[in-house]
Amino acid sequence: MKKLLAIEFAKLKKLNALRVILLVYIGLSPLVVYALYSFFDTFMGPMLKIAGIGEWNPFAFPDVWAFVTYSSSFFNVLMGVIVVIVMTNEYNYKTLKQNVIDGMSLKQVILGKFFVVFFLSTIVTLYTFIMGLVYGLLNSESADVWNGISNIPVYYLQTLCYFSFAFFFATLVKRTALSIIFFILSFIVETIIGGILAISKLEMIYAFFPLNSFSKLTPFPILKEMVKAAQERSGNVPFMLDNWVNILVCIFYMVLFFLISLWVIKRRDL
Amino acid sequence: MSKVLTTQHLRKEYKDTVALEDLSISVEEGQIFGLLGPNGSGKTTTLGILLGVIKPKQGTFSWFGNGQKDENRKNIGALLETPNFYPYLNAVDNLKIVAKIKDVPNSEEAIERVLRRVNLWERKMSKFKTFSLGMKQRLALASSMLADPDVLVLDEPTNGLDPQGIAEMRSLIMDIAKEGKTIIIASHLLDEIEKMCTHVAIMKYGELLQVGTLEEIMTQDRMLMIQADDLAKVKEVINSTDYISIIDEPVGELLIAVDEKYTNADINKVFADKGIYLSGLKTHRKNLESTFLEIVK
Repeated sequence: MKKLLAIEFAKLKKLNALRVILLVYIGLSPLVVYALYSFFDTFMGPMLKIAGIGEWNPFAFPDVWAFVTYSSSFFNVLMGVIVVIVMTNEYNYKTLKQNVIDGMSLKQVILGKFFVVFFLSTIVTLYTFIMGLVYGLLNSESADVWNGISNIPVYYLQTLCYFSFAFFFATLVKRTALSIIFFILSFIVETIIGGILAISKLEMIYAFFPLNSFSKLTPFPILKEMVKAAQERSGNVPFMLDNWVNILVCIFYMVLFFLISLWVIKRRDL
Repeated sequence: MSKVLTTQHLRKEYKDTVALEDLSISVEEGQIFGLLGPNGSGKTTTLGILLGVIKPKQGTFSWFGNGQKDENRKNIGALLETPNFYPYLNAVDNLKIVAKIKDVPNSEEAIERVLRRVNLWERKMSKFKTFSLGMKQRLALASSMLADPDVLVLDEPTNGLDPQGIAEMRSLIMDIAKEGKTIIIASHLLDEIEKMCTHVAIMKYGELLQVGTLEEIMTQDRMLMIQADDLAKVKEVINSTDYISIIDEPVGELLIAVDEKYTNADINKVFADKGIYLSGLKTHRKNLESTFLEIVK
């Protein structure tokens, strides 16, 4: 494991695309989180009062954890692009083939990339945790840091899921540009299918779709309260999976994407 | 001598094309084994299977009597088709990755040793993408020698090189061969193969046509260069016999292969009996190229 980590780190440390995207992420994500906060503070605050939900400060503990993880989740697509680049580079440069010629097994190749996914997820989650902590400490009267912290491990799972999905596309398509296009298109396609299913009153099926399941791991922070308020008014409740069921569905997809990737790589010539 | 490689009934097909058909060969320790064949003969497919990057449809192979284990490849230095490295990394960083994969002890020393040997030490900190093709090939050779393997597998190592690059590469390979390492080399450059190889396998359309020592391969038939006023009639006569065959047709003459038991006088008589008088008949010194052309014709 240590050896695989060292090999993958040696490949990544001078990869410019990784440096640029990470810098963009590090610089941009706190700004985006803050911009979203300003938006909710200005426009959503009065609406929530009207809806009877009451006061909501997304930058104070414990709500800050739900808010930063929700806001940061938009960057998962950007970070997924890194995963695509890292994997497709191996095909473009034919280094995956060379690594195998030099003595790596296909399992080690996949495991190495899983470590990259794991590493990126850890960085992104740590950064999100720090962001939440800083915003929370600056905006809370009490330092109730641990309340709502469970959003962080769930966000970690979400990043792993999105990145494994990106990895799956890269393995399947092999070309960088095409993989990125398909990866981004898949979000649009799934949303359209979700819309069609909703119109056809088949939301229950859509709840089990991979990207929808992943996004529901970090839902809009006061979604449940809003749904409850809507239910009281109209009696219509959109179908939502129980949190734990959704987590299991996501883990299932994550494992599935890695297993299919391994199967694809093992099956075809390099 | 122990067997380094054995293959049994290897077969590979791509859709409707059979790329490799029933290949069974063995390579022993210390041999310099040349794999010859025209384009599409299955040389690269064979090496790809042996190096674990192409899956055979049928058949088995074994390195060092140890089956097809991934670990075997750590004791094989290989250059397959093109030199494959990370273009944004320099020569040293690229070799560090190879050293880690191959578990090379004292990797810093090993990297310096191989880079000096291929004359790339001065460019050790240059990125791979800035290298010329010749330098890329040399780096690939350095990489293949990094773990001081018992076997080198080289697929067209002089591909795309200029004459000076070819000479440098040939000299490097010859030096490595002198160390007693087993080398399996696929190349179009028959002159190079003839100079280097102890054993040769000749392939065409995925089939193994001949395999043996260089001497065995080259002493099968005699070759004659013949001249006549009417070469069309000469060809007719040749086509009517089963012990003479045309190898090549340079302008105004024919290179023919004849069964060992026939003398030059016998051959001259064959044509004279048919009313054709040869204006020239001389024994052609066989080389690997003419032998190769004879076998794959």
